[in-house]
Amino acid sequence: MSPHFSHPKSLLRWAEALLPWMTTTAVIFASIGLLLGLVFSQGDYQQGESVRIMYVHVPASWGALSVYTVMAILSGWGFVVRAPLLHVMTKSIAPIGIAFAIVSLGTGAIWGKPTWGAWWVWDARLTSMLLLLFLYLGYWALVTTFEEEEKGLSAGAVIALVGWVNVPIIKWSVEWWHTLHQPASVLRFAKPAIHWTMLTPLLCMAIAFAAFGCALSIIRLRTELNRRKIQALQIREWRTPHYREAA
Amino acid sequence: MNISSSHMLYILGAYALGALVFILLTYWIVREDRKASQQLRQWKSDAP
Repeated sequence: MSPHFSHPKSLLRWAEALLPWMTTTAVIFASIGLLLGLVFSQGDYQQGESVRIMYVHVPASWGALSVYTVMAILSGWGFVVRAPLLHVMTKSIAPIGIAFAIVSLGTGAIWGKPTWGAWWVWDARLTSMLLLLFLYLGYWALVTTFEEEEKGLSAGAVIALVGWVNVPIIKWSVEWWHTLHQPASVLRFAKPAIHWTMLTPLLCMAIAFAAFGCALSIIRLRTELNRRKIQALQIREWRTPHYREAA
Repeated sequence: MNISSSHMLYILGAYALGALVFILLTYWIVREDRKASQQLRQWKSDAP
């Protein structure tokens, strides 16, 4: 049975059933990915052993881009069908995207030092990725600072939609401009340019990150829905005559 | 596998950073979830 996106209870019941599966998938694939990536895979002929940073950097970058894309889709969909639940779902997943973006930028800087000799360069890929983190933070600032939550969610949805234009820029920045960052090795039209011994742990870690992100998203959604229930109960109680008389 | 000590430091640093961010994120999410669930239970039990 598919969830109904205008009924929080139905959606939450469906999502909570997925939670143990997502957690188990994340643990299993992260264990396999870490074992293959850190123990059994070979170093790169140019970058040496520091290439192992790829198994955390690349899945985190894919995660940051994917979460933002999902946020943009949910925001657009929320405006079209006028379902506030979709904006609540967008808010629920934003912190997970922020964490992915921080891990991507941080591990990228650590990988950059032994590979390029610099922690940071202002090239197109790195700068557009930093801009993505700022978009995430801007979204979060908007949805958390408005006194009237619905207004904050709508304003944040506009940022999520407009800011999505940065996602294809990040993806193709390495093709459009001369950058220090290497071009795509996996997500490209031709077949992947990396050996299967590196591709296997990379895909395992990507599945682990995706499942971990989904598991946390489900918990975040439950939290946001519970908060809204509490707000509704507070308003209902405030409207009852006995409360107003006592106040 | 023969990893030079400086490369080992970068690899450890990257994985430690990833682990730290994800542990803090999970801790914050679970704490907020428990807080909200507890408040909701409290409201429901106090309701007339």
